[in-house]
Amino acid sequence: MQLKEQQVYKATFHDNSSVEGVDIMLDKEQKILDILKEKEMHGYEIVVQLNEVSKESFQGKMGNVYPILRSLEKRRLLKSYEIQKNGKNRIYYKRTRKQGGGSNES
Amino acid sequence: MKASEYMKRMMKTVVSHKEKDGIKRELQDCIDDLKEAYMAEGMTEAEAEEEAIRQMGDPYETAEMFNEVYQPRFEWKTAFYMAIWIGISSLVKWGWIMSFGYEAYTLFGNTLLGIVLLISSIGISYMEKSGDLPFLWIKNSPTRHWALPGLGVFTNSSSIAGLGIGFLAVSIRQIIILYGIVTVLMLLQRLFVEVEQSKMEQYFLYKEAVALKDFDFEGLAEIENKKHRVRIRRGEIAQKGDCLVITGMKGFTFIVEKM
Repeated sequence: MQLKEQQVYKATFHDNSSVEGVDIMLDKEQKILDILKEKEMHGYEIVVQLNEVSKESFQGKMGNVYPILRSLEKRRLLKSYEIQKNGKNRIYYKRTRKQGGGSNES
Repeated sequence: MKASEYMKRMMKTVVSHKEKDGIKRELQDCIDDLKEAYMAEGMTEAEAEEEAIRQMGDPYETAEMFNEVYQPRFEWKTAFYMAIWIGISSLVKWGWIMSFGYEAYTLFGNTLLGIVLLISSIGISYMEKSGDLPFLWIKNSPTRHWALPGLGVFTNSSSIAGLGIGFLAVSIRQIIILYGIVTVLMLLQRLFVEVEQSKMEQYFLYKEAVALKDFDFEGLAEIENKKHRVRIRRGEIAQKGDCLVITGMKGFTFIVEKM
């Protein structure tokens, strides 16, 4: 993994320097990317899906899904757009062509 | 913890002035949806809210993660647009000189025009940045439906600076030097404004304000014993003596809501 990315992950964890922290973070990102493979979703839908796929990794930390989404968006792995649905403006996320992580071939 | 307390802690910790609004809305939506889901499962409203916030986790941790993603940055697209417009104006100038001769061109007042454009561009850049106008502001402004798509480029400060440099410079060397100076000035200026705004917002967020006069959109309020210009949410009316709370900033103007 590139150094720059590593620094981003490092700071997102309290136990700063541990390599384990980086792995966990990558794992979370990968889970989000996998979920968005099938269809575009807004934040809450992603949170619900994550909770189904792996209860343990975001349990009691659901708020953290959002900065991860923004970070993925910033690295152009996701793209976001806004639509109005049921009177609410929702931010939807979708995958871009850029591939991130290891386990996705499409 | 209550949802309002969660949001308060979160917004007080998130630094980026630009992203604050979007983050606030997205998280609030998530909390509302979670709450709704728990209520559908049979919880009371208070229980559902408590559980939703418990599920969201530590607001400080989440906010710090946002801060990692959104650090203040140089706006390189400023330099990019400037370069394009230097190119365009240089071409126009070249065409003018080719068809009417150099004397005709200097008569046209290239130096004066260039200086006026350059100076105004620095001012407009400050106005754009401190007024929270989007980068191509006419195009993106929701209140200006009459604007043609792409027209924003003409009103954008970096484009104006580019035109100025193109008209002013008479050699490639001059172009490069001017481009360098103006780019550095503009990038520093915009970064400075952004950092200042974020600092100010973080300090004043959720502080109390007292309306000094009746107003329905913009008016004066006292914040920490000082007079400040504040704006109230559309549709709300503040009366003299009303207690208000600062919920955000638009440019350097505080946005307040009734307590």
